[in-house]
Amino acid sequence: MSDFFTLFGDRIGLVCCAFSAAAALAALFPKKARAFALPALFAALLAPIRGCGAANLIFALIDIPSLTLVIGCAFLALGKKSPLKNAELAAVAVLELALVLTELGFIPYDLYGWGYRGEAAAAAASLGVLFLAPSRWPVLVAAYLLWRLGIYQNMFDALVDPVCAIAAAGLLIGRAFRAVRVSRANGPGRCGEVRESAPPRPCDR
Amino acid sequence: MFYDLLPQRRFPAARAVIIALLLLEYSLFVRPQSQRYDYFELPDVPAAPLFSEAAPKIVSQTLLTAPEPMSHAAAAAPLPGGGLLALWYSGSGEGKSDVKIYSSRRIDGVWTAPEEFLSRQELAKRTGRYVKTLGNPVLFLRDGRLYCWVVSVGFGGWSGSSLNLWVNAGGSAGSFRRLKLSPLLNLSNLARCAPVEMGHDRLGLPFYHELIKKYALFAIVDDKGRVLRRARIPAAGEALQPAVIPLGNREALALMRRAAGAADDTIPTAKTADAGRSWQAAEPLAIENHDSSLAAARMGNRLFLAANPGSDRSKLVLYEAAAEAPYDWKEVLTLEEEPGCEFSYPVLLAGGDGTLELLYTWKREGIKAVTIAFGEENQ
Repeated sequence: MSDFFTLFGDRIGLVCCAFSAAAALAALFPKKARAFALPALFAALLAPIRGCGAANLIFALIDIPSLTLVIGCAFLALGKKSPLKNAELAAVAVLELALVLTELGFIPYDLYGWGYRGEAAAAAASLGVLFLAPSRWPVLVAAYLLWRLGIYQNMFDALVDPVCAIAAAGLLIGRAFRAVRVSRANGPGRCGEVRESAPPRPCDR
Repeated sequence: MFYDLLPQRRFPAARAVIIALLLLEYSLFVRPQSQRYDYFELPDVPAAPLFSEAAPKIVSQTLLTAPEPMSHAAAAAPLPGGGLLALWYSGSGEGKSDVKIYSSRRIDGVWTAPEEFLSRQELAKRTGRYVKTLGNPVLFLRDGRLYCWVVSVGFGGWSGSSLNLWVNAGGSAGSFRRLKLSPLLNLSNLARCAPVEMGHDRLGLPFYHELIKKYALFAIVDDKGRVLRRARIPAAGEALQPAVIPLGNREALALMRRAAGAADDTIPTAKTADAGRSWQAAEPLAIENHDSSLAAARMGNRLFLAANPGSDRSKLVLYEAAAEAPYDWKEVLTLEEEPGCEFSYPVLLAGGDGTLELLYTWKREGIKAVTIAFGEENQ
């Protein structure tokens, strides 16, 4: 299985990187044009200019994007809202923050090292499917299988990356602001509750 | 959508099947590999007197010069038939975009003219990523398979480095792979010293992190170079460029370069008693070493260390210790000493014929390859 690691790992990583970038850029286009914009952007990112394409630059900068980021970018291109709940977004941001702080040496513990270990990866996938995020089991199982194939060398890389953590934090902050704004417009209610179609109050008529 | 496939409330049985399959896959394929007993493979050489009891002698030395103004950071591996392969990086300056990896082979005691081994363009093409410059190479040869780790920089300086692995089993172009060793955009992974041989076709690769805080790490990799385990090597203060010497089947000593700006200039060390799965900081060596790379090797029951004592890199010295007393080092040979010059980044190899191969940066103009013989038969 680990022949995938040496033969295809970087190539699949480059394609995932180009797809994520193309999907994120395609979201800037009108919905009807996205079906054409996505493949065009994907091809343009991979096209080499003096031997180096834009995708190669992005790949050098961010490395292989996590499965969460790839799926998130696909949702963006499709014009759908992120299906992740607030707790899941917070978990993504906090996990990446913990990984970065330990990696930079601020916390003297090798958290990232656990992601290379088979028993830790299997336990994370099983616990995730069972308790933590049961409705996300296809993602967790796919992450485990891609780690086993060697596409992701570390189980953590399949789940989170710095770009998706920043996006998750941004989304969370955006949702919080929106909740506060709606809550103020609707008057007193439960803290953080978002009311999509609040009934008009007498003073609004 | 993908996220909404088979929601758990509608298909609770599907979840149970998935978990059962995951656990089955884990117990059949992952667990047996993960639970393997890791150990260091020690060279099968009988006990012999220490160098300090029989003066060592330089039997040959050659200066390898690439057609570039600067050469630095050699790596070496023995070739089948008694030859030697050396790699280093050369260019107009450290971190410049024209830096390339050069190679030279020693065949029948004669070094071939240095030739280009790897350019940044070739590495960019093989890994699919933009590469700004190249850095330290690290070499290892086992069972006809050559492992070559190369540091590359995409953006920024050395703290923005990544490690690439090229595995060549001979007869083909080999396969390249960027190693993922950090969660932070895979930045700041560098290697400098040679890996140690381990059982089950595994290798122990010492490497280090340089971004914001400097510290050493140790990875256990499989025969394809895939990381199976990673552990941090702690040290008193910041340390980098670990050189690992096996002391037993499960014990090893890591000697490290003290980071610049440290209060004391001793050599930090760490020990493992479980074949590199975990490390503990140990007492530093009483050898003055200020922010300079070092190399270590084991030959039979002898340990060797090449380092720059003092506050700069103008002196290069070979030290020796017995494997039973790894903190009692004796200076056995001064290889270079010239104020204002640089003799640095040594690499040590224990030859099968009882000689010691030492390569190092010589005034940044070239790489000097020295063969040291010892014992009365060589006097």
